[in-house]
Amino acid sequence: MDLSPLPQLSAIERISPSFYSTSVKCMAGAAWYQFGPQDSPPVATGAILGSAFHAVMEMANRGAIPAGNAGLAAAKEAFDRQAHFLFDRAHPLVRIKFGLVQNVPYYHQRRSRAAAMAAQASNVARRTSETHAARMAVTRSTDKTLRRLIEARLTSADGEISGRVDLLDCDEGRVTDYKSGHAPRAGADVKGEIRQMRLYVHLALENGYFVNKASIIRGDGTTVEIEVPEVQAREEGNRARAVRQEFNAAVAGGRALLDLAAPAPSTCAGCPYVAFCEAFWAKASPEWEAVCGAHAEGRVLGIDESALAGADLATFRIDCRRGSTLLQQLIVEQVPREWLSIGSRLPAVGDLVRFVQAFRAQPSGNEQRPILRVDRFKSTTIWIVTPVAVS
Amino acid sequence: MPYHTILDWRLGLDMTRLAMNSAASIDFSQDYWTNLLARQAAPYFSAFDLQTETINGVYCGLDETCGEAVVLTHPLWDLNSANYCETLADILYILEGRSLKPKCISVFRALRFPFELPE
Repeated sequence: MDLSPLPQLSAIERISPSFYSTSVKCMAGAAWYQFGPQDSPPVATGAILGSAFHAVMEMANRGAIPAGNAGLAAAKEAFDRQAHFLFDRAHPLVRIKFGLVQNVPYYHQRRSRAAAMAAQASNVARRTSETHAARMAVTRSTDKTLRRLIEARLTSADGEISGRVDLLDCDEGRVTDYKSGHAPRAGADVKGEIRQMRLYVHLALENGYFVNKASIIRGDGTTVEIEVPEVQAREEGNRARAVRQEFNAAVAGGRALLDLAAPAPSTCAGCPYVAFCEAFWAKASPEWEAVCGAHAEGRVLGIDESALAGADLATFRIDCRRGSTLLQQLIVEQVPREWLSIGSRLPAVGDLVRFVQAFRAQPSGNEQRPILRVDRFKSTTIWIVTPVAVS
Repeated sequence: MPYHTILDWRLGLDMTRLAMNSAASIDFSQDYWTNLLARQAAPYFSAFDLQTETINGVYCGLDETCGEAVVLTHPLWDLNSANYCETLADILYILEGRSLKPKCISVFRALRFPFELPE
């Protein structure tokens, strides 16, 4: 695939909770998401499942999922509909890798859980709307008489912060955010999530809804709830305003996207923009691999063709000079030819290429050089940086 | 290597069905599995003091007191959570919803090593 040009930055009128929590770690990552083309890089399949999970929970919070097995079937159908819709529009590499949306990793696990959670949430929503018959929840409405707001866009009084709240329950005094993935491992950094939740509470308060709790409900069924006193929410709001101001000042000062990057192992781990981020390649080192994964940049020294079970494969020998893996000659093993077919042309000997989100395997057999393997779960991608000069 | 014990005509039939139709459903709904499990599942579970229950056509052994559950899975089902089939994903979530900690063992293994539970 070819590296796409860097997006042009412009000032942001309003800062969203996700822009804010990302930019605290790396402003370039937040800006990339905001201004970059939507179809590059290939979307992580987790985003497809996440969106499908949200679609099902939105239905559930409106009480639109019937009780019992009929409800489970309806929730699964809604999940499938949204997942198919997104998969059909996903980056060609995602479609080539998985063929069908059902083959996306964790598809059935997330779907089963979403359906069961939705059936439960829909029961609660129906009970609530019975007790507040004239004030039923309506998706995307911010009517002040409503007791439950679903997917409502809230904007701060000064117009500087804006975000869509998954669920705001006035009776419970709580905002809820749905996250499709698993709970973070013990000891993982969850500060970004906490910032986001405080900002949602701030938005609710600024809009006249009394809220002092925030909960995250995950696709694995776990729920965490935090108390958010008004003072904390206000402070978070002010920090978000400061980040917005800082970003806009950087744009006004003519700073380019990569000037805003803050590469570090934990920041770059899982970042979808690693392939494009010169700041990452300039700073990454082999010590980053344990946290950040294996990303390699190097010249192609040779390409060996093979076939396995009907699939044409290419094995690359590269001279890795930069990245978060061993800086030496590496073998990048058995890349399906089909994965390489997207873009202007196939990588050739002499090209400078980047392999991102690879998996480093132990050398085996007669091969003593370190081996990188493509990884289905980690969304391995291969990019041509500088084509070899044609004489 | 003694191959005889790992030759399984039921599995062979499922592989043949798959070869003929890649969308063939691979579960326990075929007679040859239904009859086998109706005879063998309950004794396997009762040897470990587990209560037998079928969920969505799959035999499970439950110990509600200890919060444990064992699911007898089809030998061709992938037990990696990233690749669960729909039936297995549903069953595991139902069991987790009942506060049970499910573990899986392939029927192929369970019936050949009836003294073994999944770790």
